[in-house]
Amino acid sequence: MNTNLLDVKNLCTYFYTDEGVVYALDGVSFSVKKGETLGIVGESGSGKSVAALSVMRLVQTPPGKIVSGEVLMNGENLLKLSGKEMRAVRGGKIAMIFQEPMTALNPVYTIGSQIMESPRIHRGLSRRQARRVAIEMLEKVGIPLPEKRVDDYPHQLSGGMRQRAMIAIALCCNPELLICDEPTTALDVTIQAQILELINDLKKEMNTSVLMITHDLGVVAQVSENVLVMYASKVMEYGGVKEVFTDPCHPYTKALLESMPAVESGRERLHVIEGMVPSLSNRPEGCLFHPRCERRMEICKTLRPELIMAPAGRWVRCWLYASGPRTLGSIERG
Amino acid sequence: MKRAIPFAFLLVFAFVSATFAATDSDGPKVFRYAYHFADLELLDVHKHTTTDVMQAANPIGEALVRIDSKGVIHPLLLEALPEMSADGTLFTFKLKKGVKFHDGTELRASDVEFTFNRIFDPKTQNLNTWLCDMIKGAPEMLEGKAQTLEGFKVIDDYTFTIELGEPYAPFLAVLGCEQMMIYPKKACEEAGSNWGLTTFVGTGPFELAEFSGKEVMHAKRFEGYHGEPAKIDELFIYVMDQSTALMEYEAGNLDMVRVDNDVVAPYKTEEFAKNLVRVDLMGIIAMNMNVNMPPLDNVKVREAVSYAIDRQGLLRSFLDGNGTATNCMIPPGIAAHVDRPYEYNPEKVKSLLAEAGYPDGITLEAYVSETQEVAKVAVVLQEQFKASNVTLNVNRVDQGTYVDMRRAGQVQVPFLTWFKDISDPDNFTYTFYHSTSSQLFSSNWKDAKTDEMLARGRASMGAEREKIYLELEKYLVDEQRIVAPLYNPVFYYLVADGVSGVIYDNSLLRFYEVEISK
Amino acid sequence: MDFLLLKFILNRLWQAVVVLVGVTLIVFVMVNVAPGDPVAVMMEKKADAATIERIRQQMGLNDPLYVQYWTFLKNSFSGDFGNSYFQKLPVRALLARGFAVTGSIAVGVLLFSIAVGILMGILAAVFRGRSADRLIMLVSTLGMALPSFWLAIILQLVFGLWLKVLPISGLKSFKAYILPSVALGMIYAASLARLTRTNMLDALNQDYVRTARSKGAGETAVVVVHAFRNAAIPILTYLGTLMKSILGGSVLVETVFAINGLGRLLVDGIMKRDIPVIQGCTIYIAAVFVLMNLVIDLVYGLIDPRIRAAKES
Repeated sequence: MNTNLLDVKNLCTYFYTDEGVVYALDGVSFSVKKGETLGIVGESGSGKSVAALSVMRLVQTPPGKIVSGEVLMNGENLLKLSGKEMRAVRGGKIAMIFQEPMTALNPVYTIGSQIMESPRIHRGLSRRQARRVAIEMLEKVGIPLPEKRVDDYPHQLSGGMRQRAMIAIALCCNPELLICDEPTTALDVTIQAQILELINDLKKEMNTSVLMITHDLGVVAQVSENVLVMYASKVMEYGGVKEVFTDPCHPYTKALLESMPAVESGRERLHVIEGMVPSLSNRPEGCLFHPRCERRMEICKTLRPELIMAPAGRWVRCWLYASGPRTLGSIERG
Repeated sequence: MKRAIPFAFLLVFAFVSATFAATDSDGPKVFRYAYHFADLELLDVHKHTTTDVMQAANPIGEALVRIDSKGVIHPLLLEALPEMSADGTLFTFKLKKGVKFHDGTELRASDVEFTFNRIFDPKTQNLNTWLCDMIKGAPEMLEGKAQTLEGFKVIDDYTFTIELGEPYAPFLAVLGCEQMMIYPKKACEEAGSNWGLTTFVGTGPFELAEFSGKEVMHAKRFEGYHGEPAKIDELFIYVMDQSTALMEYEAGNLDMVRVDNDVVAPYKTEEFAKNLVRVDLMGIIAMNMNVNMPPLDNVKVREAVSYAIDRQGLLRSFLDGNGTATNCMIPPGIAAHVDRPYEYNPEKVKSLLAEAGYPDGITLEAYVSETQEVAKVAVVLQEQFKASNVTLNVNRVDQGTYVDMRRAGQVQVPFLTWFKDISDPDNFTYTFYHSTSSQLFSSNWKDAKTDEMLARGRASMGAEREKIYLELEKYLVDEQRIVAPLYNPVFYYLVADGVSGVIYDNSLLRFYEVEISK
Repeated sequence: MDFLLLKFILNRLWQAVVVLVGVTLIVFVMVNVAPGDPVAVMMEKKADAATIERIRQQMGLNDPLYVQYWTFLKNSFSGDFGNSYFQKLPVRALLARGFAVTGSIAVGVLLFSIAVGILMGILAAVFRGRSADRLIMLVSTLGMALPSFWLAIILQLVFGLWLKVLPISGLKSFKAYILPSVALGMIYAASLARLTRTNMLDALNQDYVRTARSKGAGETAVVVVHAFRNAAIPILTYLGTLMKSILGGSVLVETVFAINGLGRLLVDGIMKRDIPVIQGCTIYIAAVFVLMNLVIDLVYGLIDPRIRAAKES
């Protein structure tokens, strides 16, 4: 039986700014099994990146703070670890790659030395040993002439190569979980496909679990087993990717799928979701999506729905699927 | 235990006396003096005009005669004072025998001849030739028309004569000036352009150990000195900023430090009573009036202005007692000095100005150099003059600009700070008020009567001479009012406990009698 | 050294020569146009017109200006700036002596500013917003406001006279360099602290710092290895500026500590109208500027690989 590698329970991360409290993550829960890929989708401002940073405890504190919840990795709550213990986790057990490889790499050091840093920290390798590892990793991620490229600087590489280098950095210590925060957003479409394929291959080869964070539904469909749909700091729908995408329960998920341009549909204009993402420091009452929802009801305007298991077999946060006006557990007030 | 106590006492006693014994016969006796000399760049007295250079050169080199603090001339390198011919133009000298220079050579007439030739050699670019250019043949040498000095004749190794172009009473006093110190022919020629920089040899009680321009002059006692040897082994003269020097003195790193008048007030207390010494300088601070620039071309106006000065007020308040008020151009200690009366009377100023045609008062322009002490005096007078309806504008410019303007005769109210070059009344009168040089001090006074009196002064001696200068002063100061003498300055120095024997005469500090007993 | 780099250096050196010749012309004109006759200053009150004329003639001051300028320019190329009118020594020797003093103090100033300034700046950035940061910034403001000569006198008083642990004046021992370096360096340390803090804060906000932390790097490594290396680039430019200004000497601090440095040499020269000294010092300062700029550019290329690539292309 495949136990959960990662279990996130009711994670709340708020940012305390001069303008007020920003509720970036409000009661988010999900899990990832070993060898599995979970896709987290949502618009900008939905909280998906914050979720990833919270797992790694890389949230900027101040002004941010992980207020409550648990992040269990192999049963151990990461939020309770000391600084030193967490540093051993980062890069060792959990690694992360970022959206903009140009700025995510340090411009004044060679990519070789940036790769070498992880094994020297986590496996205590010497310089020569680490260099060998670096060259191996470069080869693994598909960079040609790795013995030469290892001494190149980031600005000497193309966008796709830089992202491969980032992947090399992330995977060189064999982490159990790889978090990818919009890894392909800044790349050309053709390179996109290559990178995703690379991540998939390596994931299979090294039996790594992946958290794929993106706003691109196509990417999620391509690589994930499960999908988490986030909106304005909360989870809206959570389930298997095939099921969610063929038969979306939440109106938001439906709207997202409809917004995807499809050549065969013959439509002349793109479908647009009316309205804008709400400000996370000044959230609407009731369901956070109701101002933009095509199917809103009276109750949606006043009471916040809870995450419940819908008849279709997925977790959904919507009054449409509630068995009654009340559900199990306490009701959140807006 | 009982026996340990006297033993302990013995130990302590031995230890203490050992330390005392050590301090008694410790190292060489070193005397260290510091002042913020502005111009101590070299030691060759032919190349500079300021006392900074003379002060540092003085322990090393000697002139033919010496003048004491009362103005009396004594032979120094001579057996006796020179004989003067009846017409006052020819002087015969006999050198003391066995006087050694620091390089071991003996002082001969040839060295004196060499020195005088060097003074007038155009290649030397000597700035002090005006002191002695009345020697026959000097102008010709300076113009390059002659190679040697016609007025100097060597009779034998120890005898020589000097002939003047015309009688000049102050000549003996001139020979006592530091600028006339005798250089050794051999050492000076060998040193070439390094003379006064790395090499400097004389007959004085100290010989040069090291010189670094604008930093330090270090000298050691000369064991072969022809007179009474010095009582200290080493002498250091440092160039140091005033506040730094005072700090070093208080830290015990200096034995003597000169203290400027504007910072001396805190030292006039009981604590420093034994260490602070006040010295009267042979100098005068005066206010000249430019007779070419109206309204000062009117003698009544000049008379009026002279009553606008409150000397006592100046001394009491601003100068803090650091000076002596005077209305005489010639300072005390020099012949023809006399206490002349003066008066401060603003009402008289106003009525005299009205008489002269200026009922509403006048405006005068003074220019001062920022580096001059007297700049501040000008500002005090500016304030005082207001009571007399006289507006005195004090314009501050830098040294170079000021010198230019003053020499062109373009300063309306120039302030004069003069310290004696020669202990002689001629030095305080001829220099500024003779028609050939008055422009250079922005006095512009060109008067036949004055010139005639100055010439007579040069040609006479004794009591008759003194009378001439007293008369001249009365004429210039009381009648023509071309100058208002203000005060004679003083200076102070601090000397450490156990140090004695510092002398001040003929405008320089002398260290050859300094004793250190610590 | 590859050809492109050599070409770059030679080109800059040629520009330097042009600049220096321009400087000689400007200085010569200004010094000769300004009022004040050096010989009259030398003679002070003993103003005897005939003597002054004669000496001016002998010193070549009565030659037509273009002749004087040409002689000066010609000699400058061989490093001969003539002899000081007042100190009678060759200006070259005076410059060398002054440079030995000012240069050695410059090293002390550099060490002090770097050690104190950069360290304080890094600490202020790391503890941003907390009391350590506020304290450091307060001290830095004070450091920039205090006049250097005042600070020099206070240091002399406290450490030289009261505590008696350091010399009051002179440069006779290694210890003697401490007070002048601190007095002169305080203002640079203060500005460096601010500059370092700003650049460090900037660097610490960059994505690559987040990447480093995500690798599990410790805070010290993040601050020193990742952030500082990037923040150091503009700091180095500032250090170049610091050197340029220090190598010109500082007359006030030199006076307080009784040191014969270049500041006093130049200021005394100007006050007395010692033309050869003024000319020599000004050319020296211009040369220092030009050379330091070249050095900064070269070092920039060394430490920032992106610039090196741009230069090589």
